[in-house]
Order: sequence, then structure tokens, then C-alpha cells
Amino acid sequence: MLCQLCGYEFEATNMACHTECPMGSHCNLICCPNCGYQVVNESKSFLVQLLHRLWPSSGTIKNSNHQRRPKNARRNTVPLTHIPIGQEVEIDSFMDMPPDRLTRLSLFGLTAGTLIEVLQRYPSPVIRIDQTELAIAKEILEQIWVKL
Amino acid sequence: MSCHHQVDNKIVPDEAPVILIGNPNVGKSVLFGALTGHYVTVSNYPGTTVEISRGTLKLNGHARPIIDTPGIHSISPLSDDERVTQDILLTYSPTTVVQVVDMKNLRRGLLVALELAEAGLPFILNLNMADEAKAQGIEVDAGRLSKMLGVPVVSTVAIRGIGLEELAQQLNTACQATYTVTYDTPVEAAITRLKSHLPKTALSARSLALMFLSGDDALLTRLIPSEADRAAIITIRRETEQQMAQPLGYLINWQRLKTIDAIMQNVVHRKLGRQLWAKRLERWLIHPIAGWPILALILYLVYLFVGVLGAGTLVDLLETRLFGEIINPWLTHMVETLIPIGLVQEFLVGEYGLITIALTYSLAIVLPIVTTFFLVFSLLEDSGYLPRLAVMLNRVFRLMGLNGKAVLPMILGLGCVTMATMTTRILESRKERLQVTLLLALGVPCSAQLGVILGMVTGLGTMALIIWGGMVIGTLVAVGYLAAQVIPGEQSDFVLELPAIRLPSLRNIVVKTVARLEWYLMEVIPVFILGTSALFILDKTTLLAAIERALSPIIVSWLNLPTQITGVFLVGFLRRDYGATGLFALARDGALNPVQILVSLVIITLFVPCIANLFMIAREYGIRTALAVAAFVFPLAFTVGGLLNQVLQRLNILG
Repeated sequence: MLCQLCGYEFEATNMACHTECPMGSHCNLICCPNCGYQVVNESKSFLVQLLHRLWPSSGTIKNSNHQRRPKNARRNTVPLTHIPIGQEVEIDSFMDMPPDRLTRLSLFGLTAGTLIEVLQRYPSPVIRIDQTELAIAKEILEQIWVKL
Repeated sequence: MSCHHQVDNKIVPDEAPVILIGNPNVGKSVLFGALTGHYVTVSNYPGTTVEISRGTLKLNGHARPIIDTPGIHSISPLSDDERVTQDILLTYSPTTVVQVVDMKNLRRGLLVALELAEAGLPFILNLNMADEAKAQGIEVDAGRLSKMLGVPVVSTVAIRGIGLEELAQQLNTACQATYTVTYDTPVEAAITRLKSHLPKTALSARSLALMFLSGDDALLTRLIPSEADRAAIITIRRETEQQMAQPLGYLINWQRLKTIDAIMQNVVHRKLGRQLWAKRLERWLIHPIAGWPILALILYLVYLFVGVLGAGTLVDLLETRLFGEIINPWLTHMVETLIPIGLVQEFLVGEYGLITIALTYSLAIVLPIVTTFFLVFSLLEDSGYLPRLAVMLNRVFRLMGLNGKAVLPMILGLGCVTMATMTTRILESRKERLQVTLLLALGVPCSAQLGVILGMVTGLGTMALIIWGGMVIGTLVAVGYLAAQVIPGEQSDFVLELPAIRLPSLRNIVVKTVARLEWYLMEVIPVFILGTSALFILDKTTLLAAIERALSPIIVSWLNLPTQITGVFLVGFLRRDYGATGLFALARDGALNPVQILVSLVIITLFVPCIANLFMIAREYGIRTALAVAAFVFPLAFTVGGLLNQVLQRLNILG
């Protein structure tokens, strides 16, 4: 990294003051070896991370619910959130679903090719697969894509 | 129907245990109860805090042990409870497995059946809840299914005792299934490669291989001691996964479901079902508008039964009449006559006496309240309403960084916080378990306390009730939200099955209540005795007075409360209800003005739970966690109380 004060370029990892010093692993400061100017290493500060979470900067997108359609979505498929209540549709694929969640849902019979119906959206979404009714979080609904 | 094939014919001896497994909500426990009658013990599975029911099945002069297991979605577990079922299947051999299936959810049930088939375990498929399936117009050709799978298939309606005789008779004909599933080539190749690394267990090598490929890492650690073998297995899994477009666990299930759909086409016939009252009721219970007044109504009915009948009428009967007028005077007289030593007399029947306080309190006051609560809770549980309550409250819980499943322990906490802390283990992530434990310890008043508190608060007027409720709920939500940010870990998915609404059987409700009561009596009464003895010692050594003096600066200046209240708080920690009744006594004697009463009530509600709860937290999560919870909750309770006091005084509310 580049020192903001004197312009000296150095490698911020493996600094001797961190590796030799017994407090090194907890030290959240980076000191320029040339002029000694100190900069805070935010990723190492527990309090700063906490502050980031409680007070996110306006630059971050809090809501990842992009309206743009993902490039790899197949034709004639839409997320389950676009399907009206009471209409039975066939599951086509799962978009950006973490593997654990995917496996867990498959145990309830939710796999590609299965018929699914949305029973309600409020106060919590409820879906029906065959004779099983499941209450699921809204994010999950957005990740299940079905054939129109 | 008996097995007419010669596949590795394991003769299962008569003494081999019968193991009931199946999805949750299929009626396993009902079946277990019906098959075992009176001969049941409930105990912790070794090394865990999960409870397992064991019983004896008497048939044709033989007595066979039978074990009920926690419900599973797959033999590869999703939670600690399910891990116990996997462990039981691995440990007991030979066995006879009875898989209980909800006939109308045959597709999911067959997922487990296929796993049993792959594992090479001898089993019977029990199609339960045949009545509900029939009402939905679902018919299953049991004979054909049996031929296709190669195992006996028996239909029952366990809750009405239908088909149980046949099931019991068929136990000796359980055998390994002949049905096999073939997976895609890369998966089959991986299974072959894995075989050389796998140990011999009660489950076949093929089934172990599939579990490892699906990602059951805990099993890997448990069964494979050698680092080299584990690394080899993980490599094979990674290489296989790279060849496939989806996670292996999903693909394996997808393949299984495809073959199950083929089976079901031949075996299940649909007719038009009747629209049952139950189905319509289910819609209303989670209706975005109607669901709320229904929830309020149900809570009100619970309050009537537990708060009025239990905490009011029954407690009165037991405490004032039975113990107050009959038992205690008689025992006091006996003790004073037979034991001349003053100290011992006081220990037994004095101000902090074992009999007069500890036993009277736990049997006359707490027991009737907790009994009525458990009755109601078991009713809500068995009727299928609780998951729907979770659906209604999910949004509120999400504010607190929890998901709706936390509703179960929180509601149970209104009965007994100690027991609710034990129930937190149904939550899937450690982070959530810790959060709920903290919230329970902080703000959930248990039934023993709630009656007295509500009585006193409503006595001060509706404004006081709103302030009290607002403070407690506000603190809970705020702490819940902060805890969600601070405690490391993942929140688990909100995926909750909504079982069918059904009329629960009275017998089951009573059995569940009795089981919970037994736990309560055995675990909690000794703690009350311990607590009272501790108080007795504190009092006799004048330490109690000393502590009062030490704490008085805070009590008097910050909280504006008289010094006697220290005794109340101290006692309230050791025996939660007595704290509330001690407060009641002070208020009745005119020692407190309305603001002071309200502040004290808020503090008592937010206070650390009773000592039994701290012990439970220590047992489930370790001593450090228990101490951390105590160290957080005490100061918070006093701080919130103090702030409330300052605000009320400045704004001159409640005079």
C-alpha cells in the first residue's frame, strides 16, 4: 500500500511489527516503515465491524433485490414471486441458492420438475408441494424459478 | 405378507429392538404410545440432551424393546435431534425398523424408505393417518407398493387404534428392501471409489458413501478416524461435484424423487377429496387479517385457563386451604413437638422453612400453574396451531434477528423459563439458540410470576399496563436486535412445515403433560429446596442484612425504592414467584407508591430468571455463558428500571 503521508510504497502484510510483537495479531494499525504514519486496518477492528453493521454507509446496496433479470435465466421462466396466488406451476430451476438450502428444500420434495403452488404471501409466504404446506422466507421464494 | 426372496437373509431375533423412525408429524409418538401402553421410560440419549422414549412391546408372550426416535427428513441429519436418530440406526444392530409414513405425504416418506433400502436395514413401511388420506381422496395400493419395494406395508390409523394388531403381527416379517436406485454415472463411480475407505457399520457401505457425498461431514468425523481416509473421501466428493451442475446432495435427492414419482404413478390413485372443516380452518389461522384476532382470542383463552383457573382458583385452593389450614399447621405442630432443637425447627418450618416455604411454594403455588400451562401447551402443540403461530409472528421475530421457529421456546417460557431454555435446542443454529436463551432469561416472565405481576399491574390502571408491557417488549426487541448483530454465526433458514390441523387425542395431551410435569418435579423442586436453604443460611448469618445495606445506595437513590425491596429482589432470584409475592406484600402494606410499584415490577420481569434457569443455561451452554448472561441481565434490569423511574418522576406520570 501507499503511505498517505510520505508516499512510500510497502507491503502491508507480514509487517515485522505485527509478526515480532506479541500483540501483533490484535494490532489494528498499519504503520509506514518510512515515516511512521499510522493508518487503521478496519478489517481487524471488532468495534468498527460492529459499527458497519449497525450503521451501514449509504454507499452500500442494502437490498440485493435487483430488478434486472439474471443473464442465465431461461426463457419463459420467472421467479415464484411473480406467480399469482393459487396457480400451480412447475419448478424449473433455482437461482443463486446456497447448496445447504437447496439440499434441505429437496428433502421436502422441492426439486426441478415438481409442481408447486403459492398459498399466501402475508404475513409469511406459504407454499404447497403435493400435500405438504411449508412456510418459507421471502428470499427463498425469489430464488425458486418456475415455468410460465 | 412375508419376504419371498433370499437376499442376505438376516434373521432378526425376537429381542432385537424395534426402532420407529419417520418424518416429523406422522404420528410416530402416537403409534409408540399405542404399542407400549404403560411401559415407557424417557431418558437422555447418552452424550446429548435429546430425550428418547423407550418402551416394551408385549406380543405373543415375547417382550421386545421399542425405541421412538426424533423425526427426520433424511438419515443424514439437519439438526442435533436428527443426529440422534442417525446414531441409533448406526448403533443398534440387528434391529427391526418401522418407518411411519403420513399416507398423504407418501412422496416425502418414500425418500426415507429408499434410504433405508440402500442401508440394507430390515423394515416395515407403516402407512399411517389413512383416514386423512382418504378424506383428501388419496388411495394407496399397499399390496402393490409392497411388491415393488420388497417390504411389508401396513396401513393404520394409529390415533384410533386401527391396524395396530396387524402391524404388531407383521413385525417378524420385516426384511431388507429389494428396490434399488441407480444414480448418474459420476455418482455411481464415486460410490465405487469410496467403498475401500468405508468401515463396516450397521448401514451398508453404499448408504454411507451416499451420505458422505451429500455432505454429511459430522458423520465423516465420527466414523473415519484416519486423516488420510477423510482427505481421500473429501477429494472424491469434490471431484464428483465438479462434474455436476448442482450440489450433490440435491442431485441425489432429485434422482430419488424421480424414481419415487414412477413408483407413485403405479401405486397412488387420486379421487376428489372433501373440503374438510380442518382445511378451511387452516386458511383462517394464518390469514393476514383474520389471523390476528384469532391469535388474540386464543391467547386470551390461554390466559383464562392458566391465569384465572390455574393461578387463581387452584392456587387459592391449594395454598390457603390445603396447605395453609391443614397441612402446614399439622406439620409445624409435629416438628415442634418431636424436634426440640430450635434451629432445626426454624429450618423446617420457620420463616425460610423447608416445609413451610420450599415445599408449600413449589407444590401449592407453582405446580397448579405449571400443570394448567402444560395442558394448554400440549393441546396447542398436538392440534398443529404452534407452527401457524410462528407464521403469524415471523415478521416480529425477524425484527429481532430471529426467525419464527423461536416462537416455541418463547411461548413455553411463559410457562417455565427453565424448561423453555431446554427447548431451544430445536433451533438449528447455535447463534439462534444463544439469542433465544438470552431473551428468555431477560424478559419472559414465567407463569408462576405472571399471575401476580399482571394482577398488580392492572391494579394500577391501564396506563401502567401499557408502560409495563411496552418496557418489557421494547427491551426484548432491542436486546434481540443487538444480540443478532453481536453474536457471531448464521441465522438459519425459515422453512417450517405446517402440519394438518387435527383434533388432538385427550390421552396424548395428558400423557405429554404428565411427562413434562414429572421432569418439572424432579428437576425443579430440589432447586427450590436448595434456594430456600441458601436463604435460610443467609438470613441466619445476617448476611442478608449485610447485602441489603451494600446494595441500598443503588436501590434508594437511582431507583427511589425503600431498602426492604432488596430482600424481595434477592429472594426473587432464588425463587422467582416469591419475589413477586414479596412485592405484593410490600405494596399491600402501603410501603410503595404507584411509580415505585411499577418500577419494581419492570425490574422483576427483566431480572435474571430463577436460579434453576441459570443452572439449566449452564447445563446446556456451559458455565461461562450462564455467567455472561447473568452479568448482562442484572445491570440491564436495574438500568432500565432506573431510567423508567427518572422518566416517570420527571414527567409526573402516575403521581
